This record gives sequence, C-alpha cells and structure tokens, in this order.
Amino acid sequence: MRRWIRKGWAWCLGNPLLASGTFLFALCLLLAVLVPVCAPYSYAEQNAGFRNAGSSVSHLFGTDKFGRDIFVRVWYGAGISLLVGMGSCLICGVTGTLWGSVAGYRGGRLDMLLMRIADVIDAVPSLLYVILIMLAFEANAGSVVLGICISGWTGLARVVRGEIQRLKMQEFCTAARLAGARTGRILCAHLLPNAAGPIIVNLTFLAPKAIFTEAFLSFVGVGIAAPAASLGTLIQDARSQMLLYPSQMLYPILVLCVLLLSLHLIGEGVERRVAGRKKTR
Amino acid sequence: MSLLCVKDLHVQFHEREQEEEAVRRLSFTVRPGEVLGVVGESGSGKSTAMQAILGLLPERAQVSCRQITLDGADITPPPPGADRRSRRMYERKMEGVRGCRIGMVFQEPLSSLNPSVKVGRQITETIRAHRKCSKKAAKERAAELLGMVGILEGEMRMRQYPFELSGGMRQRVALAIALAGEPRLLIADEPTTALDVTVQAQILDFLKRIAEETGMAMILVSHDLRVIAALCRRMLVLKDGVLVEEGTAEQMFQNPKHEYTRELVRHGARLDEPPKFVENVEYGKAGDSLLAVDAVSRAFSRGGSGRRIEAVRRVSFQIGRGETLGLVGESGCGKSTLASLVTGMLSPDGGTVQYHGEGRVQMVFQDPYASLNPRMTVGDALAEPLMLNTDMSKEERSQRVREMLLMTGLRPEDAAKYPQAFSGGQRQRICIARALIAEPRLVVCDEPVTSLDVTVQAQILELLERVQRERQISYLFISHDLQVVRRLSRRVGIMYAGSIVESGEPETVYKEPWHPYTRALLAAALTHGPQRGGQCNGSMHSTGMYSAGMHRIKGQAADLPERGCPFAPRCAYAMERCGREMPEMYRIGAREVACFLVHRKAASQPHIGAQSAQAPHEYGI
Repeated sequence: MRRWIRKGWAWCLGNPLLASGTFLFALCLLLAVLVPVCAPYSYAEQNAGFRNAGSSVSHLFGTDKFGRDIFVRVWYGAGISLLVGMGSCLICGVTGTLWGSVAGYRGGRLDMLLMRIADVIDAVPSLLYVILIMLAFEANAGSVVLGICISGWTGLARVVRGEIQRLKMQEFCTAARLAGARTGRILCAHLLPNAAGPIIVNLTFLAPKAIFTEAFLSFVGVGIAAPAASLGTLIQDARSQMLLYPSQMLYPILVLCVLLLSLHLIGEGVERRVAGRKKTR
Repeated sequence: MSLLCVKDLHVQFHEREQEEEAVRRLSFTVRPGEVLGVVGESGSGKSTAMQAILGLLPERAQVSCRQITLDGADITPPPPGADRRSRRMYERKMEGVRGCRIGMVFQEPLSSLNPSVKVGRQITETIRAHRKCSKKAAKERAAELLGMVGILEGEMRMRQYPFELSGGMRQRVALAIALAGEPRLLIADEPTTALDVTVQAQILDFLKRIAEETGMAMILVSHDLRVIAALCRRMLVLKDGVLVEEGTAEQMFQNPKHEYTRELVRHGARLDEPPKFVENVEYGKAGDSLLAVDAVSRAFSRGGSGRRIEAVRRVSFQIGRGETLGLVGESGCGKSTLASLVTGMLSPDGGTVQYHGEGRVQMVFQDPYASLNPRMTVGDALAEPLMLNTDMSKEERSQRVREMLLMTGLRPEDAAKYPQAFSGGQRQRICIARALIAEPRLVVCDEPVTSLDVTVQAQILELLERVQRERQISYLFISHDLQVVRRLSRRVGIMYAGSIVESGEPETVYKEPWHPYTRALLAAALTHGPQRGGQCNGSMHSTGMYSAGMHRIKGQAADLPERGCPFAPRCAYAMERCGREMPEMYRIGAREVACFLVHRKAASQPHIGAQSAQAPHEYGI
C-alpha cells in the first residue's frame, strides 16, 4: 500500500500539469470539507443586521443580501459540486467499465445489443434527463448525480469496449486462458489494468463536466433548492445585485473556475502521462 | 569512380536528456552497378544509416557527416547547428534526389503506399514527377514497369487499391514505384522480411535480374545473412552502429575476421545442420501417442459475405511422448488455426483432437512483445498457472518461479521486473518458462523464433532442445522457416491451404521432396553461404534433377479453387484430374503425400513417370 502511495506521488510530481492540478484540487477539497465544519457560521444562518457587507476579518468574502457568510456558503457550494462530480464519476466509471468490458469481451450479438442500447440512451440530450429527474424527484445533489449518470457512462463504455476488443486479441490473453484463467480473472488481472490509462483519462474529464452541468442547472434555477446552495445557486443569487455588489458573484465564479481548472489540469496531465508511456514503450 | 560515397556518418538520438549513438563513423562506397549488402541485427543502426543518407530521419536525430556524394554531386546533410536556410536548401535538394536518383523500398509495403489512391495513379504520378510526359505515355510506362516487376494483368492491377493486393504484390508495386524514377541507386531496406519464403525468392530473383539488366546499383539491407548472400558480392557488417567488417561475401563466409561476423556465420550455419538427437534418450515408443489429431477441420465466415473459408481441412497427425512434429507452411496456410485447435482455444467443426497428457497443452507465441502482460511482473506472470491450477503456497510458488527462471537462462531477481525491461530474446525465455511451469506434456510453439535475431534464434532453439531432453516433453513446432523446423523435428509436415500435403522424416523430405509444393518451398529457401555460379539457388542438396528455376512457383496462395487440389493452379505438374478431385493422403513407407503424381508411384508402376509429359522425372525411392 505504502509503495503504491509513493509511486502515485512520484507519478504526480513528474508532470507540472498534474502536480499543479493536484495541488489546486487538494486545496479545494480541504477547504470544502473543513470550512463548513470549522467556521463559526452555518451556510444557512441569516443575520438581518449584517447584509451585503464587504470583506472583513469576521466575514472573509463578506455577506449576501440575507446576511449569510459568503465564504462559508462558497465552500459549502464547492463541497456540493465536488460531491456531484465525484459521485457521478464513480457511478459512471463503474457502469461504463462494466458495460464496455462485457460488450467488448463477449462480442457478437451481445456486444451489438449493449452498444445499441447505449446509442439510444445517448441519443437524448443529457440535460433533458437531469431536468426530468429534478422535476420528478427532490431537487438535491443525489438527483443531479442520478440525472448525469443516466447517460454519462456511454462515452466511457465505448472507450472501454474498444480497448478490450484490442487487448483481448493479444497473445498474453490467450496465454492466460491456457494457464486456466477464467473470464473474470482475465478481465480484472489482464485486460482492465492495461486499459486503465484511457479509463482514467476519460473519468478525469467526466468530473468537470458533471460539476459544470450541476452549476449550470442551479444557475438556470432547476438545480439544488434553497436553503442548500451550490456554486451555481450562489451565482444566480448574486445576479440580482450584480451591479451593486459584484464581489458576491465574483467569489463563487472564482472558486468554480479554480475547481474546474484543477480537474482539467489533472485530466490533461494524466492524458499526457498515459500517451507518453505508450510512446516510450 | 564510386556512385555513392559516404564519409564518417554519425547519427545520434536525443531523448529525455539521454544521448544514444545509433551510427558511429560509418564510411563506405557503392560502385555503379554494384549490389552491396548491409547486414546487422536489430538495433545495429543499419536502417538509421540508410535513412540518414536519404535525409529521412526525424528532427530529434542529430546527423553529422563529413561528406556524402552521389554521382559526384554533394548531398551532405547540414551539420546539427546549421541555420534554417541551409536546412531548407538541403531539403529541396533531397526532394530531387529521393525517388529520382535514389529509389527506396522498405520492409512494410503497405505503409509506403498511399491506401486511398489507386495503384496505377501512384505509379504514374511518380513517373510524371520525374519527367515530362503525357498521361497516356505515363500509363503505358506504368504498365511496362508492372510487367517488369512480374505483375501480370498490369492494366487491371492499376485500377486496384493497395489493400486489394497481397503482401508480395504490394512489394512489387513499391518496387515499380521505386523504379519509375529510373534511379541510379536503389536502397532496399529489408524488402523481403515481411514476405513468405516462396514470394521472397521471387522478389530476390527479380531484384537480381533488375540489377543485371539496368545496371542500377543497389544497397540491400537485411538482418538475414542468407538474403544478403543470395544477392550481394560485397557486404558490410554492422554492430551497434559500428562497421565491424567489410569485404566480399566469399571472404565473410569462409574467412570472417571479426568475432561478430564469425558468430553471425556460425549461428546461421548451425541452423543448416541436421539435428543431433541424443541417442540414450528414448524418443517416444510406438503406439505411445500423446496427441492424436484426426481429420480436423475448421472454417471461418469471412466478414458479412457469408462465404466460409476453410482454414484447416481434414488434418490428421500424431505426436508421441518426447517427440517433435514440425509444421511448415506459408502465411495463411492455417498453421495458427491448427495451433488453436490443438490447444483447445478453438473447437473443430469436424474431426477430433485427443490429448492423452495431464494438464493443459501450453503454448509459446510468435511475438514476445504481445505475449506478456505489460502490467504484470515476470514473477506474477510465471506464478499465474501455479496459482490457478495448484494449491501451492506463495513461498512454494516463488521458489518454482526462481527455478524456472534459472532453467531458462534468466536470473531469479528478474521476477520482480516488468516485461518492458527485457529484450525480445529474454522475453521469449520468459514465455518458455511460463509455458513449462505447470509441467505440461505438450507445448505448441507457434513461430517462436521468427521475430528474433539470428544469434538469439539459435540460443532459443538450444534452450527448447535442452528443455526437451531434460523434461521429455513433446513439441508441435510451427514455422515458415524450413531450416528452423528441421533443426528440432523428428517428423515434419508441410502445410498448404489448410491441409498437410506431405509429411515424413525431415532428412528424406528435405532430400527428396515429392509433393510439388514441398519442392517449390525447398527451392525457394535460401542457403547459408555465398552465391555459387550466380544462381540464387536454394535447394539444399541440389542435384541436377531439381534445379532451382524449375521449381520456382509463380503466384501466391490467394485464390483457392472450389474443387480439386488446392495447389493445382500454381502447380507445374497439374493434370486434368487435379482440378476435379482432391488427392487423398498416400502412404509410402514412413511418408505421406497428398498428390496424384505419387499415387501412380504408390500403385507400384515404377516407370509411369517417364510416359507423362506432365511429370518429367522419376521419383527415386
């Protein structure tokens, strides 16, 4: 275990994109977890006597029109965004990998059937799924994740299928079968580790997409409902007094940007790493 | 006066702050009309040197050279630190040289032909780029060129795309394009390595003829000493980027000076030797059969068209304990499908495969780079069969892994490394260790040495022999290389188009091939040694009866007839009957041959061959 951590660490540091992305992301994660817990205010606590205040020592980012602390709300919102991003990443990752590997490994009619189902699911715009789910269920982070996950896995499934199709023809796969390995072992020990690069790259780009979708929906008003807040809702709330208090809008946008940037940097870094390794082999 | 003169060519590669010298201070000359051979193992810098001369190397390569002249004109590449202007000047100059004054042919013809342009246009464009002429004249010239490189129906072929042609056909087209500019010098870099034996012989014959007829000089680059020996009078030997020896082919073979040349020649010669079977070991008793394959067939449906291609048709053979059966055949003859049938990876459509040993049949594959999982350490890869089939503890398993690594000539510490850390030959050793660790009785070796250098080939074959002696295992040894098979096998089978056409003991089959295909295959095989009497003659024990030219077959195994003998369309002795029915296996002594010519012989009419014009010689039994 320790060896793996050390290896992963060395892997990250070797690439400036990956290192800076990881640093920014770790910072966001830390603040998103710690700020709502440690801060003296809760994200929903109103203070009628302290509305629209500017930055000060007690309120780092100032307060909004209900006197709520923006610093706490921004990081609480970032937490929701991260939850949505990671949650959909995880679910899409598992579904896409399973779907794609079964289709790719089995091939034939099953492959045809599974991939056409994926095509049909993919044919409907993904925003529509999210909006429908939000209307049908409660407007919370879980519904957003569910909505995103309905069609989010199809891209990954295609990537995995292609990789598995390519890898299963390789001779080490035949050798494993001759050694007596069953389908499960061949997939887990031989095929998926070799397909890990493209899978990880795909997932790192899935997370920012999910975060952005959530922020957009909340901004339009079909996202997470009050009093809970996401970065999108914060931006929307500040919009009405954008001319008077631009800082209220600036902070959530800034955090959203940093979050997305860090994830993109990680994605880009991982992609280069994977491509670079292939080239040198 | 030399045609090409290279002085002090030096090539360095830069990658991640590592500098690698690919070619060091290489100097040589090519005289007009001369065929110069360049031989060396993979990584010896032979291709890099040729690309440097042509100015084809990528940016990260640093080429420095005192002088290169072609026909008196200076084509020296600019030094590494040169400004952009001189680089551009050089590029422009080389555009006029490449394809026009120096023609090029590379190993993989598919990658040097544009896949989306018809063959005819690719040739006519080259012709028109080099001299002004009308489209019609260019077309006529293209057809002429195609005729020259031995393509029949040139008009029809010109309307086809490269993917519609077979490998040998593509290489001919690439040659036609190279010749279209009427170059003074042709650089052929491993031109026959990707081709079958019979096609290789055709291409080499053709290259020889072209060189003689047009007076064009040629540099032939190959890792195969036999290919070089068949064509070249003078040759260079490269090792690690350094020219270690230069001289005539006769000198090289009879009196090599450098240690490395000696090693190359010796390893090549060893492949030619008949096998040495150790007498005190019992090689399988009669009736002690380990594998019995009986009339096995397998067909595949070809993409969508619904037509089924029979990859293996009614093949039967037996392998006894501790015995080796060699299978020889060209690409697409169904060797690998047969291997999959024997290992149980595929199930036969008809017939039976009976394996009487315990455990599974194991396999050693052709490509040592694809047959090891890059994400698994060598130790884990070797331990996998034990983990899945035995209840050994982890310690016992790693003990066994260490033993196997030692036995195959690797170090026990290698278990912790990943396959990337090993060379092709070492990887093949790992693959052999993996195949043997579960102690199988039968190992299928599917072209195990094809992708390796000659010296490494010999080592791997030695290892396989030693393992067989020590462990009494049986091999089904599949290869396209007659010499390699002969080295190891007690019995050989010659495969053509999915069926075994001849089988018997290698000594008799090689000495006196009965089936016309076997004869053609043997005639096409290159001998180890310098050319004698100018003939690219391959038959190993050539008597006056089997002159090489007589058995050089035309065409390729592309279109099989619906009925009759599959070899009939290419066979010089084909009779009317061959087109009608499929010959069965005729057994004569220890040999089996599927040919009607032999059937007559088998019917004990000793002089019948003399009566027929189609069978112009006798068979001496």
